Amino acid sequence: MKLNELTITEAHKGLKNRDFRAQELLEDCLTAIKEKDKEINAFLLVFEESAREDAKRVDQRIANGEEIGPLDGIPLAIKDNMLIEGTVCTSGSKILSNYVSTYDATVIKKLKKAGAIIIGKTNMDEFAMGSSTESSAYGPTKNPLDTKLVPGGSSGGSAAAVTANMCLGAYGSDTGGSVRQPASLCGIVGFKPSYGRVSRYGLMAMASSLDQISPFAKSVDDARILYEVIAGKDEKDSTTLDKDLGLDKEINFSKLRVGLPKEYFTHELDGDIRELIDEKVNILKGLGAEIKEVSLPHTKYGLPVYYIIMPSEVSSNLSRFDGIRYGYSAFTDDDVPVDNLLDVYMKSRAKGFGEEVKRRVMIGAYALSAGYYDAYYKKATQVRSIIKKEYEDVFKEVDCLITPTSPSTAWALGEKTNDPVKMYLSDVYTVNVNIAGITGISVPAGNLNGLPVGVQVIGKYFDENTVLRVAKKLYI
Amino acid sequence: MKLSKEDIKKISLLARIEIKEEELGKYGKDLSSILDYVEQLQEVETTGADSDMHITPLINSWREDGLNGCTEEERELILENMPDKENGELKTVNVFKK
Repeated sequence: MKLNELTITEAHKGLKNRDFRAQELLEDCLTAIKEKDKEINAFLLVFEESAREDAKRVDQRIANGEEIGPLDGIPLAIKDNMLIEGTVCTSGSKILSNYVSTYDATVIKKLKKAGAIIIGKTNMDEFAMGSSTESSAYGPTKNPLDTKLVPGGSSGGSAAAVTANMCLGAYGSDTGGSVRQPASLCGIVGFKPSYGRVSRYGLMAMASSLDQISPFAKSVDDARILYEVIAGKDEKDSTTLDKDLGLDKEINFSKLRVGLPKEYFTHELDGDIRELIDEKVNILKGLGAEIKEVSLPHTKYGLPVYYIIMPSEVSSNLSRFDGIRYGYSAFTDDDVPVDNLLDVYMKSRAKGFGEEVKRRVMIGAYALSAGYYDAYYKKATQVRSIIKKEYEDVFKEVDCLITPTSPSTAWALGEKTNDPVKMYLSDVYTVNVNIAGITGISVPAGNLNGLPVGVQVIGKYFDENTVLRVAKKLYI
Repeated sequence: MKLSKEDIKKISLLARIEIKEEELGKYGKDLSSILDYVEQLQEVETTGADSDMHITPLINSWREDGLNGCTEEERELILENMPDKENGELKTVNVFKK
């Protein structure tokens, strides 16, 4: 077995026992990138040199007999919408092709402190807008399991990097399912913590009330490690909370109440996905858990709510890309004549943004414009609060919910790119977790026609412990 | 809902994104289909539902006010990112006509 195929937990043990060195672990990952990434296109940038230096430092510390932490010497990949000081950060967009980060995101600071080796930045849908990683300005990422298929998105580069063993774990951002859905399509673990658990400082904002940095891993134990190291209150993100993670509390499976929301098991679900989910539910039944059908009647309105609130926040957040202070500017482009400031804004954004970004900024600008605000934005926030309340109520009856993660397995590249709404529907089972701000994880549930299917465990606000412990029983 | 070319022109100005004449039809079609999709929200009864919702239970989140500034290194990075500059200051197109 090559070292890059190890889990984080296994690699940590190996480093600690001095079975191998951090530098060897890193080299195996770098070799995998060299061998496979030309085809897969998971990475936009690989930090070969700095990663080697970092790994060497960890090895020296181990040689000196220092105690190492769970992420010391572990090669990890980062979605290209998180800032690492002094390195290029594109967010998958042409408008930022030369942008150099001016500071470290809080999660990056924490990872550096934990001794993790940041191996590179991963491809993504432009500004995280997409469900297949095809809207990246730097070409699509392919699914490592079958390169004719998409890896899911928007964090498809991170998902592919972990799946192809180019790193041991990775981070993405989950706004409507952008970590759980690609995890499902690639057959790995994707874990979205509750909103407010992880600082968003230094994450390029897409939809601020929904965005959450979330890890990809090969096992549930690894996902927990990757989550623990980045969680906690941050003075620089006023939406983070100072609340105990509570991850050490055992749960009694014979007293566990598991809900199957009937609105998640409809005709939209591909073929035999239901059967695979049922098999997983039976594991919990076998442990003595009580299984019952529950109802979340407003489920189907989650996606339409999302497609008003998200673009509204997008149109506001992306107004910073104006061609004035950073990024591509029509002002300095000899091919684009500009007369005045409005020209600089309009032409810089026209040339710098891709199609999907333009669509969403325009939808947002429209939904927030005079005369339409009540009909769209206000209505959407009202329905959002109804959906949130429904989850709160259902969590009085049950401790967690089990659902499919995605209505389908990975689809062919290009299959949905010409139909925005069809693409949006692939997030139908993940989006409400973001709408309600709660936590969810996707773990592999088996294969359908040779392609992975994910099962999602959804937990109440701040109950990551139950979600992780149930997920661990489903995916050993 | 069917957005006309005129509607798209107006939205593109609001969004500060120039849309070429020949693309107006395509964006009109795309945006209309998204608006048709979200239209189903109108059937939800929302009387009395909270519209000023926040996800976290936080009311206020304070920190001490103060000027932190930035390091020389950070300043350099910020300046390097500017499309154009002069003597360490941002340069852009004239705001007032000469």
